Amino acid sequence: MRPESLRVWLLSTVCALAACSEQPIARVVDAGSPVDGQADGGASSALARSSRNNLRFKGPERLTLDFAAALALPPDAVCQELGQYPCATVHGVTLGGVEPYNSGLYEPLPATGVTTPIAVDRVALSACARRVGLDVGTPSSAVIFTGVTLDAQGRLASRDGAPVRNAITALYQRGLLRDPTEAEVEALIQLATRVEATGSPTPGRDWMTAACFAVLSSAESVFF
Amino acid sequence: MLRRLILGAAVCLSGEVLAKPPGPGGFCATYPSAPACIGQQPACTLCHTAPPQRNPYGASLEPHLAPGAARPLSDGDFSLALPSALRAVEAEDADGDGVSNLEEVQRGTLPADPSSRPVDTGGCGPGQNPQYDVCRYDARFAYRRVLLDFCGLSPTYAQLKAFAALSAGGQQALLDSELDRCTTTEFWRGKNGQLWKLAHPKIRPVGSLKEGEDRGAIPLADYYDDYALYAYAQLDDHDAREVMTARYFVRRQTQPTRYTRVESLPSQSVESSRRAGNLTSAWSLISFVMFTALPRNAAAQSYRAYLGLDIAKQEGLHSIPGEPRDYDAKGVQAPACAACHATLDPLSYPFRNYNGIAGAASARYVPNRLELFFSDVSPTISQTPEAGYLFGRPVRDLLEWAEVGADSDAFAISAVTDYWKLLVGHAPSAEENAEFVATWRRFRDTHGYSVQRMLHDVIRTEAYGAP
Repeated sequence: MRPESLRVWLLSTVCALAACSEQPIARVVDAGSPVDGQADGGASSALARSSRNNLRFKGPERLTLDFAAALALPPDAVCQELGQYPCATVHGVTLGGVEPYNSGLYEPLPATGVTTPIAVDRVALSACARRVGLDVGTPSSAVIFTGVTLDAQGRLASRDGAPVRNAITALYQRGLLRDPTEAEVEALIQLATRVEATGSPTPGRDWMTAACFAVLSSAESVFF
Repeated sequence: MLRRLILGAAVCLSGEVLAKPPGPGGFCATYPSAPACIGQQPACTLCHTAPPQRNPYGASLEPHLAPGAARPLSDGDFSLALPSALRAVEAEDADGDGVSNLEEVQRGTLPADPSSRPVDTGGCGPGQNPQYDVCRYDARFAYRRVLLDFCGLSPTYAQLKAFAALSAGGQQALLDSELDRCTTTEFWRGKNGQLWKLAHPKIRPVGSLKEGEDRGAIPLADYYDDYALYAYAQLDDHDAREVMTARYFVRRQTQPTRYTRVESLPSQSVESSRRAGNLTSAWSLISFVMFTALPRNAAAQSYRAYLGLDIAKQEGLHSIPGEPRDYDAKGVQAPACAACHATLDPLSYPFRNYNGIAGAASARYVPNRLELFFSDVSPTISQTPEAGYLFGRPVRDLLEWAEVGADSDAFAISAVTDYWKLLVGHAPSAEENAEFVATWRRFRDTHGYSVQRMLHDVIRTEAYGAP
């Protein structure tokens, strides 16, 4: 297994664990959900809700273009299977696309499938890993994680420092077009602790990828 | 749901079966303002599952139709009895969904389908929403959607901030200008862009049969010509009807994509005087006529693709007296077949001289085609006329077929429905019917069938811009 593939696998595991956790981090996995975790009642009951239920899934092309724009990547760099086949093509039907010429699938499937979230996660994680690689590899031209430094063990040098907070803000502004709430910032900061607890040899870098993934794979990011 | 209801049939079954040709018309005479009756008539499925079997609504009507009179009722007796029967069951709830038949009829849902019931949406609930005005049209929400729908990607954080700072008039002007800008992008008009996606179910490409660019293993025709004409008709204030009526072709150039009108293409063979847009393209003839004598499939696909009426779903049935004549001896006069073929066969006659796959004569208009190539099909095949019927109206040939179709409400409804589904995310719902009807009527009456102008109407609707 190539090192890059191993890293992606490890991060997938981290993210999956985070998604299953009952700790606050679980709420970060869907960055668009109320962070207090109360679906009804409590503070969230003050949120006025739409009665139309008409969110639309972005689909393969919009997801690719939006992820590319959010992370300042060329669309071709967002996700490639085996390094050469665009994920939006390979997983096109799963992501709500069509395949008219060879499969006779002229219109998108009427509903997303059970594998659609997996494909979304695949694309988001790939894009985030690419962005993190660029930001860590060439800090002077970093786009998201500007000024975020790592200590000798590869951890975030200052979890609560301004660069980390700025990076979280950048993720929300570029990925969700809004500022994060303080609770959302704190939740992503706490994510660093959870990542370090996994024993990853590169916890700081993995936190960057996981934080990016949490934002880009959220319902708020993939629906419009 | 509403789509199935409003793109319906005028006539259901002929002969002694129980669905009655005057049914939809009688229904609309009784409920002229029902959404199912605006621009079209309801499908047979309003009262039937598969005729003659009735659904719960049809079954509830039957005892009130001239009680005691001998069955089957004549069309005249049925027409006289229908209004009172409809009124007799207005207070009932045929599908048991808690909503009376009358309310379902008036609000455009299906009285025989418990999953189809009026839903009150768009109200203002309690609380605050810092992101969107969820009570009504929110220009900021519409702005994000316009960029995603037409350009393929979201605005930036800074763009969204700047948009929010504009006046209402400034926001509307920017929405309009961004719509116009984005419809020039490859995402919208390019190969495999959004317009091509709308065209896929109409053209129904088959990669292995592709001629020209992206040539397949058995190259028979180049359907990219069809995509080019479709896209051209949708863009730049062109008349969308020309997808059915154009006597010209369209050449696609790339980087960036441009569509240019031309008078001939080496990949097309039908002479100008016999062309009817994509109905007579080489691909349509090769793929939909293929080897058949009477091109029923070509007619049905044209009806479905450009007029939104799917005969297989009992939509758009206009039985012609004396039809089907069964010139090709396929047995379509059997009652179970005649229900649809009384519409489909006269719909198909104008295609009689358009050849499908036949060597050097492929994809051409061939006078006396049936006599030349299909004389052995049946003794009466040569009697097949070139004149036929569309919407119950006689047409002398395919050119008139295309013109009548393109000028119909069905065309406007179908074209706007395509964009409604693309941009709103679903076929027009009962709650959206008023906005939908206003949109297709303006598309037809005010905008001269310009899709570009119609799109500016769509992005102003509550259906599009209310979160």
